[in-house]
Amino acid sequence: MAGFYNTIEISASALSAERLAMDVIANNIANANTTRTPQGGAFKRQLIVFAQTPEGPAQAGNGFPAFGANGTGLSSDGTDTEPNLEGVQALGIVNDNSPDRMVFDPGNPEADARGYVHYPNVQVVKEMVDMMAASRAYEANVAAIQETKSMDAASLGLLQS
Amino acid sequence: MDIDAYSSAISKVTPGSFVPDVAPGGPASQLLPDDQTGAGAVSFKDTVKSLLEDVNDKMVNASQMSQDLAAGKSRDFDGTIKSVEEASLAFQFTMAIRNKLMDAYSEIQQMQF
Amino acid sequence: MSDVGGISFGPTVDLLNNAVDGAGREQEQIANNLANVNTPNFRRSTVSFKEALAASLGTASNPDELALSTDDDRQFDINGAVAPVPYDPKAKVDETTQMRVDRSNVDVDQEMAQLQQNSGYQETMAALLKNQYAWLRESIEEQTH
Repeated sequence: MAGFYNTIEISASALSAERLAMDVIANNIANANTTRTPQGGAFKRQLIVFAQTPEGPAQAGNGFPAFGANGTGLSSDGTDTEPNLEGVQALGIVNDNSPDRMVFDPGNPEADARGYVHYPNVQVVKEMVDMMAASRAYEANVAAIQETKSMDAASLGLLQS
Repeated sequence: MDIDAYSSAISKVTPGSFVPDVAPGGPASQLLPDDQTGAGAVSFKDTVKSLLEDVNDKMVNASQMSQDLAAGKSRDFDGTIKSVEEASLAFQFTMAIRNKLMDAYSEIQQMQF
Repeated sequence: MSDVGGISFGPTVDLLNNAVDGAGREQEQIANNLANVNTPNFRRSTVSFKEALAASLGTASNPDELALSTDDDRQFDINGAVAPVPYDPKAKVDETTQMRVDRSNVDVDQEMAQLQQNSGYQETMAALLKNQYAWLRESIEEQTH
């Protein structure tokens, strides 16, 4: 049964997660042209991995937790596998290992043996789209908290004589 | 809602009102004004009784409309609010009449004969 | 509300309390759906509490009667006052909406509309319930004059 604190915590989990997503996206955009990193080579685009909380049992293969066949902890006929909903969590930040963006520029001191400069595999337009999605989700969850608060105020209003 | 019926009912509350169902021509009928005796007259008791029934109907109707709105059977939000308000007002009127009755009754009790 | 034993103050009060409770459960689902709008493979869920409410409407024959029909073993009798039938709607996964590639099947616009509708509903029910309690209280106060 929903309580005052749990529903708001669910929304709050999303605020943290989407804020982290924004950080990752902002970092990608800031480093869109970084050809040198401490690890050597061009900057690699990063992406954030979201999962519903609670997670299902871990999978052996990629190490990420798996979910039930329908993607959530609830069975599709609504029978009692109601876990405590906790919203969303960021499982981790991983590198996008797709190839670097190559630009033919033999005169550039950063060019490799064949004359190509390795630029990061960041597509700024895609990052902007992801940023909008994160921002929108953030705002939606703020609205959810506001509505939950006003519902709880209505319930508390029953106590007045 | 018939505000006139309620306010005329309140104005009828006097110590002389406590003679219900007076038969015309009987000894007590001389105490009452002419328009309150006889087959066509409506006694105060009947007026109050019909008002109480009216209040009860209104409250039952308001509750039923609330239930229908809750279950999604009705989508008449404004009508439900209106019926609830009407029933509350009718209830308050009836309580006011009842209080006047109690006051009039205790006034009679203090009469010395 | 569902497992609380106790006397009933009438079918309207019970129904409105269940309505408020149901809206609270739905709010939890909506919050979870919105939290997971960007979670891959997530499927949204809802609570169909209004159907449970409509089902419970069928058991009261006279809306103004204090005593409900006692044809259910789960109801018990305290001097003529009857406990309400347990009401416990559960969340169900929504399999019908389209999954988007690499995303959840939560449509943020739809979900926001549900959010507003649900909170409006809950506030209406709470107001109507407050009114019912006020009537009960006024009746009691008038009788203790």
